[in-house]
Amino acid sequence: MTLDATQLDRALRETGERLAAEGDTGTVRLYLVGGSAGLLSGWLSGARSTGDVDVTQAEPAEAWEAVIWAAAEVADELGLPATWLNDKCRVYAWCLPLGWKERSEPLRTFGPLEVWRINRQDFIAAKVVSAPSRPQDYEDLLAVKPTAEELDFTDEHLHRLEQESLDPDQSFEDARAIIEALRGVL
Amino acid sequence: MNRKANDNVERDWARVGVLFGCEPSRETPDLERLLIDTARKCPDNARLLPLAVTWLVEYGQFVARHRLKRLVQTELEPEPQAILGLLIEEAVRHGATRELLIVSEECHPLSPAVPLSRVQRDQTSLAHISERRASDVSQKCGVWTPPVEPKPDAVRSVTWLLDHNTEYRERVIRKGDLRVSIIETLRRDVPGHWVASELALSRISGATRAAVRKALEALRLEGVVCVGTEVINDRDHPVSLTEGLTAAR
Repeated sequence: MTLDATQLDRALRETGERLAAEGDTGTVRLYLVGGSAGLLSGWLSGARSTGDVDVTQAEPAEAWEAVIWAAAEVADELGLPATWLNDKCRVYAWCLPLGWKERSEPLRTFGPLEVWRINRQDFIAAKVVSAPSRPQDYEDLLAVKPTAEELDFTDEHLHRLEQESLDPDQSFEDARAIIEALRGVL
Repeated sequence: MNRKANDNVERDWARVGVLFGCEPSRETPDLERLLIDTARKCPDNARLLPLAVTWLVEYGQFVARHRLKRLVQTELEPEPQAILGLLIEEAVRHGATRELLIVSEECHPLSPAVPLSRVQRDQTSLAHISERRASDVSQKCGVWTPPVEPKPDAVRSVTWLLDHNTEYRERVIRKGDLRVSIIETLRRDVPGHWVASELALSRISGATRAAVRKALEALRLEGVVCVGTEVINDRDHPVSLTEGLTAAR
């Protein structure tokens, strides 16, 4: 009934089966970020995450339409929101560190559907960037317990974002304060 | 709030269609008490606020608002009162029924204000971030948090909700009006599912006596309540739920 890791697995599997039945997409790889990546990896508990799936990139991109069509069919069958699998998070792709895709790790394969997720240090870095405006992300960081090395990596990521920012008003000081707060409590 | 209730909040939300990744409760939750407990738990799980707001935007008419108002007045501590006020105002701002505002009007702001999230309270730098980024409505309520972004991708459809919580059907048919508050009050809040008089019901359902009388008449015609013919004293007639409707279903 709920969308815990097992149910999420089922929803993705059935999406893969529908894609296979259509037979014209070839292999499609989805890169997951956010709560579903945390849930499927065991980094976050079920009470700290929701089961909607944030896809930051699909490869090949032209297969995305077929994926969301299959996911919508599965939504009907399992009583899920029609957009349980979506790519709205793409607008925040800039939060991810360079090279995130190469560091991503495979989670499961369901027929033609390969499900990958960002790795732990990239997950943490993205959470730090968003935590100043999303208190739940700071709570997630406390639950994930980043190591000193992971926070150093995030610090470098913030430095890169600052260097590349075209907006003179954009500041990452709050994100740095998040890192310092984490160093103080972990 | 006891520990059991505290642990059940996310499970109860899962039961009514929020895609929390935890096992849902076995029984349909008492919706008004779920909102009360959610307000109490929001400081420890910041994800609750946007999800409860999203649910209320979709399903605010399921809420027995008079009963919720009375629970706020009689049971809810100052800090969760302010949080519930924020929750409701954010929900209305995003499209929930404005009739819920009769509840938020009873929710007093917290003073001095604090960050909503408990983990932001202990460190000065985080508390400053919280204050700087607080939405106008959260500042008004005295519990700082950024503007709420609803998350419709994480709430199931009304069909699913009613299939798994059949007793909510009567809530939405009556659009959460005073009749729902009377039914839920008799079902959940009074021993033996009866009260001694219309006046007593008026006190505990949070509505005026005239409004209660009108709603009772409608419920009597619907066959949902019985108004006793025997008077308890010179003027009072007992009111009870019709047999068979007393259990939360």
